[in-house]
Amino acid sequence: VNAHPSQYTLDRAALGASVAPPDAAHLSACARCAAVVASRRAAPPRPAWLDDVRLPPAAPRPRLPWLRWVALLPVATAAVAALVLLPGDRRPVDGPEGIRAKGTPSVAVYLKRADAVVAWDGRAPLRTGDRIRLGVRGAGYGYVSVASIPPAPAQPGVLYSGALSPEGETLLPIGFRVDDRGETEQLSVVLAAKPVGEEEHRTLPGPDRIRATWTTRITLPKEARR
Amino acid sequence: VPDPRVDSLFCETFPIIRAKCARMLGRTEDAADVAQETFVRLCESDILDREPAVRLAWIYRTSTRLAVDLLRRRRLGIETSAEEVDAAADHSGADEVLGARQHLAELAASASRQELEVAVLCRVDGLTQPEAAALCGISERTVRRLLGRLDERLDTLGRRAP
Repeated sequence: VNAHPSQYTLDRAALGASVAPPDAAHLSACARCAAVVASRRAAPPRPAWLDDVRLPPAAPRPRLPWLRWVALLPVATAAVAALVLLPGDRRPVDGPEGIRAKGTPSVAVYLKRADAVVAWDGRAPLRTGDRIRLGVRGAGYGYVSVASIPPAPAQPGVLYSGALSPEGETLLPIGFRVDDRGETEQLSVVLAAKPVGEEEHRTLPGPDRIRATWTTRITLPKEARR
Repeated sequence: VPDPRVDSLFCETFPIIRAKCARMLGRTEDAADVAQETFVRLCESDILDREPAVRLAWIYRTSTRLAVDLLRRRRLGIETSAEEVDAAADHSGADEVLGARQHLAELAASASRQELEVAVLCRVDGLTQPEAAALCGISERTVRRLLGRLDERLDTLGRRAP
């Protein structure tokens, strides 16, 4: 039986992680273990191969599988962006939920390129690094869901779901950065009176389906890679 | 241009990685290779911003797996002395570590990867069974079972001390 703490415990102490009180007491009393911990903190000789090692440029956020974009924190400057209103498909609904005499829902696309905010005209290809946010006017619909539509057979992936302001436009609290892969990105936006399920993104809008939703799809072309 | 963040991480973690690899593989070229590979993988990992305990657990898991893979690929004939183990481990119990390492080398071809990983952690690094279970993400019962199976193999070889 070894009365000394394990190597793992000594390494925890060397890295500054917490150790159990009995181990801490041992380390303060045992010169040999204290020396081991000190040796694990001593700077080693610098090898030549270290020159070739690189860290990622920034702490990478986990990529969501649904889309080759990265969700961003809200961009304050987006508020001054121009917008493009996108038509949607209102699906009639029976009952009280159908009473929404508040105008037409719309989705605004805000585009930020480098330090400048430019208006996306609905056609111009996006560039790698462009940032986009969406503003949604619910016109009585209380909830929104945004999903990416990947090429079949992959399934849509929900990017954001949440409530909408009852009046005016809601700037969604997520943004997207355009990457250099693929030729287009397609987004599905669904509005509803209740929280929107993922399945709502799986079907194209059509007049034959009677549901309490409003939906639109946005196709974003990308600039060809050089 | 060298990345200063790499140097900082190197100074913080490499002495630990190097000592761990030396315990497992002796002061050999293989140990140096596994230490380098572990560090490079650490730099590429997504745990650099995590707390020290998480990073240490990652280092132990990764270096152990790399060493076990190496043992299983090559079935190393490790020839080291107790003094060398003592120097590498910087700790008492050098004879036990040496014996465990020799056993690992002998069992590398027949024992499962998980058996070897647990054996490295418990018999070479001196982790308690609960510590090894937490680090490997398995139950203590599984740790006991794996160590028991490993001892059975050693018994079959007549290697285990009575």
